[in-house]
Amino acid sequence: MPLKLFQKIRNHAAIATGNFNILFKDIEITPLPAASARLLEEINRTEVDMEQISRLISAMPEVSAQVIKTVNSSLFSLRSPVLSIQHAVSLLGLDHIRSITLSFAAVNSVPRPQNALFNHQAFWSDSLVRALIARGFARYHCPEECDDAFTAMLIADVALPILLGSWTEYYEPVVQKWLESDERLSEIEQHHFGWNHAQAGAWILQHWKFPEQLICFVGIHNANPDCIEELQLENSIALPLMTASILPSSLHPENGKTTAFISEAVQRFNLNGDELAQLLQEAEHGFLEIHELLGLCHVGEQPTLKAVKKALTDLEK
Amino acid sequence: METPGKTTRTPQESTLFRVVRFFSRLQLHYLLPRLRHPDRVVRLFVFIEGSLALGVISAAAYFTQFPLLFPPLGPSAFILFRMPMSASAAPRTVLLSHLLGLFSGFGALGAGYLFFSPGAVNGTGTVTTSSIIILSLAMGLSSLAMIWMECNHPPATATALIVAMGNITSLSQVAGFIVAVVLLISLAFLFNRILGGLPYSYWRHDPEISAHYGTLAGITNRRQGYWQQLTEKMFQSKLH
Repeated sequence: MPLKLFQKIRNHAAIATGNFNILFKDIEITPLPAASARLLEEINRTEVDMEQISRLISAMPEVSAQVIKTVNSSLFSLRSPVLSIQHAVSLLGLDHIRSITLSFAAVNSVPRPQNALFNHQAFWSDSLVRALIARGFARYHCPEECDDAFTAMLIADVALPILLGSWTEYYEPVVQKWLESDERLSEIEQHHFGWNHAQAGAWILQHWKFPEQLICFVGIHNANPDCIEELQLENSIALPLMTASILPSSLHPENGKTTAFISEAVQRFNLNGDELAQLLQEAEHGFLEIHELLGLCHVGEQPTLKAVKKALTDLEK
Repeated sequence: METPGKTTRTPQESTLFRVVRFFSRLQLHYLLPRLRHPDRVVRLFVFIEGSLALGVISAAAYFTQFPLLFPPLGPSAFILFRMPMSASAAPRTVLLSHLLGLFSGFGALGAGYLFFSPGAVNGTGTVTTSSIIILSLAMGLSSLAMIWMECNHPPATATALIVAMGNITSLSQVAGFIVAVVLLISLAFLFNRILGGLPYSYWRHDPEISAHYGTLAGITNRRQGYWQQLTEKMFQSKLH
C-alpha cells in the first residue's frame, strides 16, 4: 500500500512538473529503424558522401520505394519520372531525402494505442494535411525550408498517441475535453499539466537524435506569435507551422477554427483568397498522392480541407 | 471516435495531485530552468543542505557517542551539494574513494611501521623524514587507486592523509568513518533526489543525464549553439 501511494505521488509529480525523463522512462519508445538512423547520421555529417547515401537508401527496400514513390508524386512536380535512387538523390538533394527518411521513419515508430479515443486514420490524415499546408506556407515564407516544414508538421503530434496509450488515466480526460470543446488541445494541456504535447514531442525527437533545429520547431509548433518573435524565428518555418497547426481536426472541423486559420494565413503570408484556395487544392492533391505511404486509406474529401474551402467561399461571398 | 458516457473524477482533480503539484514545483529540477537568477537559489541550497547534512551527522555523533566526525566529510559534503550531478558526487565514487583513502592510508602506515620504527608516526603533527615518506606514499597510493578504480573524489585523499598521520587508530573510528560517509550519501540522496527533484545517481554517474545540468554537474563553461539552448528552453512552460 505505501509503495502504491509512493508510485502515485511519483506519477503526480512527473505529470505536474512535465518531467519527461520520468514520464517516458518506463515506456519503450520504439527506436528509429537502424538503417534510417544510419542514413540520418550520414546526412548530418559535415562532408556528405552522396554515393554512400544512395547506397544506404538502395540497401533499404522500404525506404527506396518510399523515396521513388514520393519523388514521383505531385508533391515534387517533376517533369519526367525518376526510376533510380541515385537519380532521385541527385535530383532532389539532401534536404528532400532527409525529409522523406525522417518523416517515414518517425511515422513507422509511433505506436498505435488501443484506446477508444485514438483514431489512427484521423490522427495521421490530420497530420499529413497539416504537413502539406505547412509546406505550402513555407513556399511563400521561407522557400528553402519547405521540406523541414513538412517533416516537422508531420511528426509534431508524435507524443499524443504515446501519452494517450501510457498515461491514459491523466491524458484521456484532456483529449475528451478537447473533443467536446472549441479550445485548442495545447491550451487544455497547459491548464491541466502546465506543459503540452509539443514539448513532449520535442523530448521524443531528442531521444531519436533528430536534428536540434527540427526538435525546436516541433517544440514550439503551437506557440504564440509573440513567443516566435521573441525567439527571432519569424523568418523561419515557425510561422508556417504555427499557422498550419491552427487547422481544425477532421474529427470536429468546426467553423470557429477554420475562420481563424483563414485570417491567420491571409495576414501572415499575404495571401489572397485565390492563392489560399490554390494552396488547399495542392494540399488535397499531395494527400491523394502520398496518403498510402502512411498506410492510410482515402475516404473521400478530407473533412478539414472541405471545411476550410467552404469557409473561404463563404467569406468571399 | 467514441465518447465514454460516465464522467469520473480525473487524477489531476484530486487533492493529492494539487498537494504534490505544489511541492514538486518547488523542487530544484523544476525551479532552476525557470528562474531569472538560478545561481542565487543554488547558493542558498548549498548553504542550507550543507549545514543540515553536517548538522545531522554531528547530532548523530553526539547522541550515539560514536566517532562520526572527520574533516574530509566537509569537502565531500560541498561536492555532493554544489555539484550533485557530477561524476565525483555519485554514491559509488564517494564511497569507494573514501574506502580507497582508508586503505591507502593504512597501507602507507603499515609500510612505515615495516621500514621505520613504530614511533615513525606519532600523530602529533611533527614532520620527520619517515612521516614525509609515509604521507607522500599515502597521497600517491590514494590518487593512483582512485584513478585506477575510476572514482575521482578529491576529498578522499584527505582521508588517506588523516589515516597516514595516525589520527584514525581504532576499529570503531574506521567503522564510524564508513557509517558517516554512508550517512552523508543518504542525506545527499534525500536532499538532491527526493527534495530537490534532481536525477542524482542511485549508484553510478550517468554522463548523459548530467550533461544538461551545467555547474550542478561541475561543467562551468558549456558552449552551446543557439538551437541547443533553445532545445533546453523547449521543456520550460514559459515558452508557450
